[in-house]
Amino acid sequence: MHELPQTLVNGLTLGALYGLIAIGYTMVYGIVQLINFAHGEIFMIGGFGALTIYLWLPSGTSLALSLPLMLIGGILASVAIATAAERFAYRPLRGGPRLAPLITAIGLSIALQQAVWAFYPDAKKARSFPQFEGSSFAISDSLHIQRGDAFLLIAAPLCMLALGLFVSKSRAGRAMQATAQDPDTAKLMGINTDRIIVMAFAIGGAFAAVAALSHGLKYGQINFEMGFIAGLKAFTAAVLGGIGNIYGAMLGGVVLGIAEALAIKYIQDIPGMDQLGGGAWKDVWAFTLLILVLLVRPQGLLGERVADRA
Amino acid sequence: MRQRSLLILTTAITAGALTLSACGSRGQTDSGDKNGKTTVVIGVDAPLTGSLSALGQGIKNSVDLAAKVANKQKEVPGVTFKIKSYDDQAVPSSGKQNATSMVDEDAILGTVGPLNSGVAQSMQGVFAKADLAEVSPANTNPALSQGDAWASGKKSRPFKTYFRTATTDIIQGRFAAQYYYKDAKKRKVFVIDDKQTYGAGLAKIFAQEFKRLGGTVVGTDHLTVKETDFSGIAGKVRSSGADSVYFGGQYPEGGLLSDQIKQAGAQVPVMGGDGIYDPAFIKASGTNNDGDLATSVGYPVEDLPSATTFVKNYAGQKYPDPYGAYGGYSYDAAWAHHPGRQGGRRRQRRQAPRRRPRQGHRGPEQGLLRRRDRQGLLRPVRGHHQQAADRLPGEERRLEGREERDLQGLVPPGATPPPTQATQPREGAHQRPRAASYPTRSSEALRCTNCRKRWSTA
Repeated sequence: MHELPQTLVNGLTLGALYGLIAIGYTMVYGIVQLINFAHGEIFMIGGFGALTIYLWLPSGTSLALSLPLMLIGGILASVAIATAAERFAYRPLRGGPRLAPLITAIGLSIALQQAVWAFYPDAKKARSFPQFEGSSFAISDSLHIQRGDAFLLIAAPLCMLALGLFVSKSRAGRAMQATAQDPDTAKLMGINTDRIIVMAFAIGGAFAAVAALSHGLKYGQINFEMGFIAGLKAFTAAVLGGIGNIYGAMLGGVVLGIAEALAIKYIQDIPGMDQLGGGAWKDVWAFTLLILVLLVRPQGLLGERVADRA
Repeated sequence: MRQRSLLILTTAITAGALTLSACGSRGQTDSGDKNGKTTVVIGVDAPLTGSLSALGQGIKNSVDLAAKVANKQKEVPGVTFKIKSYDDQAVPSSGKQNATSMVDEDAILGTVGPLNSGVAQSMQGVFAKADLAEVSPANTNPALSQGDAWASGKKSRPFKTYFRTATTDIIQGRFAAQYYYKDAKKRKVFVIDDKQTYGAGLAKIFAQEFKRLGGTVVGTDHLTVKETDFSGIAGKVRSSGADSVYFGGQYPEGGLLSDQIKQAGAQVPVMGGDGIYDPAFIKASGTNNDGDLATSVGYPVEDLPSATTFVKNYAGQKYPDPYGAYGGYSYDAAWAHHPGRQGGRRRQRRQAPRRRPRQGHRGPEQGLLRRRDRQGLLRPVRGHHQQAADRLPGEERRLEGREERDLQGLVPPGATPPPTQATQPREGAHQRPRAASYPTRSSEALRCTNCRKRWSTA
């Protein structure tokens, strides 16, 4: 059982990453009931934005100094693409049939992926991303936390805290909740709903950029395809936690990440299950969990707290 | 007697070709006179987008180069070679669609590709039905050319139109196992694959050989292509107490896997096949994958004296992507479609009348395209266009020329053909694949463990 803490930490970091991306899905869904399938690509573009800043800085700049700049660069890139997508791809279709924006999102996702593939220098293969120097933090003999993971484990709760405060305390946040509850009434109350929607896309983009930076630091590389699987998993996390709920997105991410880690490690130790465990089956178990949760709670883990929807 | 039958054959072909060229069905023939231009298109199927696109672009460009060189040298008078590329994104179903399109395209007389064994599986049947030759520069799965039952010793060639210029995983996987067991003295290996045709097949061959030698497989696991987090598998490697890891798969996952295994605290080497034989594998981590190993399916093209022209010409074309791991083999695969390219003039004439891929004299590796086969591989023949396909202006002239000269006694009957040099990459493939180690990241060079030669990568 001495492997358990490490397995849990691995799952937790992976889950925090899913959660950060899932915020983007859940915010947009909460306000315009659109599943933005291009969000995985917005995540990917955040990573390339950060990498661009890193390459632009003189080589030898310490990571401590370049990290904030990379974060800003990544956020700028992601937010720019997210708001542009909203303005040019989704807004013209608002009020149209529900399927139209969904298909647009899928098309946009492919277009963004191919654009990075074709135009970003050397992006046809994975680009290496700067990593923290030094070895991992040894908490105990059987528990090591990588420096990249540590960044993620600090950044994710901080971002969640900031978002929670913003949504519940600030004027714009309350306008957001109002729009989520009832866009028409919110409009009558003088809320510029178009601005709120742009804001939701922008916040989702910013969170995706933080996730992308963490992803780069954790794995040491980014590539133009990384948004696909990450986006899919994050969407699953958002549904698991209750789509539309920001805390649910993070919780769903963490539950999904830990479920995957435990499935890889322990399922095949159960007698008679050795063929059904390991990396090949982790997605099967993660989705089994999703189905079980949705059977019991169709709205997701935290889906009922409509008041918190943002 | 023989000459007479040849004469008849030539006449028949010419007549048939003239008839068919009237319907203008093949190529962009035209101009009517005997020196009329024919365009022969070579179809290329490779992953041109997606994570393996760097390799795919290298394959496409190398075939393009072969076509350009052939045109420049006027290899076949009156024939212009062109390529048409298809993107399979490393997905078998896309490959199958591409194969169908290539078969429908009348101008395509031969194909090069694909990169992935799994894609090849789905394409073979389509080509076989249409009698369209397919030469892969990179497939290594044995079943493609030896049948599914190859392991039990019952080798049977499933599709007569399938050829390759790469060697198979039988050689590659067994060599890796022997290296681990005998040279590196490893006894406990953890085997990981990516569930794809290539990766799973290679890992299986490796594991069988390693067990046969007396080693233990302490654990197996599978990862999913395009994922990035393998920390769960890495943790299992650590707790299994393995002293080595074998990975059947490609470099995008392999590089990350190796990095994460070392991060999890297991300081053991990771070995893989040609799928991880790529600079991107090294780039995936800082110093963590120093000491990892890869086998290659042929001698590094950069170090081959016979490939200097290829390397030089490729650089001259200013392609946006390097030729990559399979460029040299792709170039050869494209030349394989060329009638009688390698045989020298006299031999060429001797063999000119043969126009079907000749069966029955393949070596131990049936799918391995050998020089003599390539001569036999004049051009594939399909459907009602058969006669038109059979006849190309260049060949027709050669046939006539042959008779003339034969009559003059320039080629004494029964003369043995002059010894010709086998092309190098294929010869390299026959040899044991070399285990290359990755010594340092700074040099980003793969160094061959046997000869210490450096394979610097673009």
